[in-house]
Amino acid sequence: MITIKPLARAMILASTLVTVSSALASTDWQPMPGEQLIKLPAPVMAQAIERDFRESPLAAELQIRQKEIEDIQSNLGELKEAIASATGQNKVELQHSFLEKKSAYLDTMEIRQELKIGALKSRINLYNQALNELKQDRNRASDPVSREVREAQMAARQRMQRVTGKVDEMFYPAIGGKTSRYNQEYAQNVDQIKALQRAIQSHTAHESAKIDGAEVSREEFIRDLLTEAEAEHALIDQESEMLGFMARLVALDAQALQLQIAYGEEFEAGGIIETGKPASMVDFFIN
Amino acid sequence: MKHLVTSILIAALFSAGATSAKEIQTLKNMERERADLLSAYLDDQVTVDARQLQIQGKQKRLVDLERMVLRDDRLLGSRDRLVRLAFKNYDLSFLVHASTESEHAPIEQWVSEMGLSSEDIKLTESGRR
Repeated sequence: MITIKPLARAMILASTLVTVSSALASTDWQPMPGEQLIKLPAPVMAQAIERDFRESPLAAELQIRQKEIEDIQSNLGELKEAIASATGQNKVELQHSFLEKKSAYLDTMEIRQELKIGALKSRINLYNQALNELKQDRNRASDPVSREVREAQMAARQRMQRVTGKVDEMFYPAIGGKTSRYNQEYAQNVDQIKALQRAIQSHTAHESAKIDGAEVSREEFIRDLLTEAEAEHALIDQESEMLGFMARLVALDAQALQLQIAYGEEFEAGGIIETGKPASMVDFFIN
Repeated sequence: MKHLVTSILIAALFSAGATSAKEIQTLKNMERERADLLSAYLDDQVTVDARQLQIQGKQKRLVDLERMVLRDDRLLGSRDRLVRLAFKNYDLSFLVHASTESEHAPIEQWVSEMGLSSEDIKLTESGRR
């Protein structure tokens, strides 16, 4: 005997599959500002963003959804096997559960895609911000006023350097060449600074950015990250299209199941058998 | 440990992006000290010896301040008017170093750079404008 429960559930499933609600929890990721990104050493730039992301509520939510998808995937496999060996009412129940799981998969996937797109949009904004910052820096560097001041400053430093000894002799002769505290500590610090600079130059994090082994500028490196993010976004769009087709198939399956439950084998066998066509009735009219 | 490193990195980034008001603080200090040195030269309320001592102390302080400004990377390429003027007029701005280079007293250097002659100075009168 066919029960009404699976029929109602199948009908509801069929009518609601296309409009999946995205009840997203309050998840967010505010990446570091672009001006901070461009100050990071290029090799750690991508890692810093990734780490920043992994510590966000958005990443935590994505992980939860990923786990849900894995569970659903495993359930779907089990259900498919069970359907193959089931019969009668039990098979209908299993088919219905199978459809429900497929529907749940699509819902969860849609939420996950939305979260991923949110994260990618944040990344794309960040890279664009960083590129704008670099552009502004370049403009500032090529600004004639700034360049003029910089040149005057460099010339002034050299000029000061040439006369430093003479100034020290003039102002600190009485105490055996002992100069001011600033001057003494500055001289000591200069040596330390040079040692630190050498260490920084040879540090792995200070290496130039590389793409496929080739050294690239900071701007090129960020542009590469931007391209990767855009590509991932495009692939998610394509996956969304696939999910749309899957949803339509699930809806069709649900409708078919609904009809099967409602009309049973008679419907499946091909519908109404026509009788009483004129040709078969002729004999009744001749005599 | 990771959080400590991140904090240090972020602190370094923020300090690297300090505001322009802070950037030119060393220059402002130097300008103030230079004005004080010039005032000491023109102060007729103290004895010659006392003035000489004052000037000596102020010049030493100015030596340090001038070097701080010249070595200050935060001022590099600054569009600030004060910075532009300071480096445009090295002989006036970095008075102690410039005067040592030219082997003049700082006040002589200043008067000369300002384009004042002995005659001009003799003709001046002190008073309220």
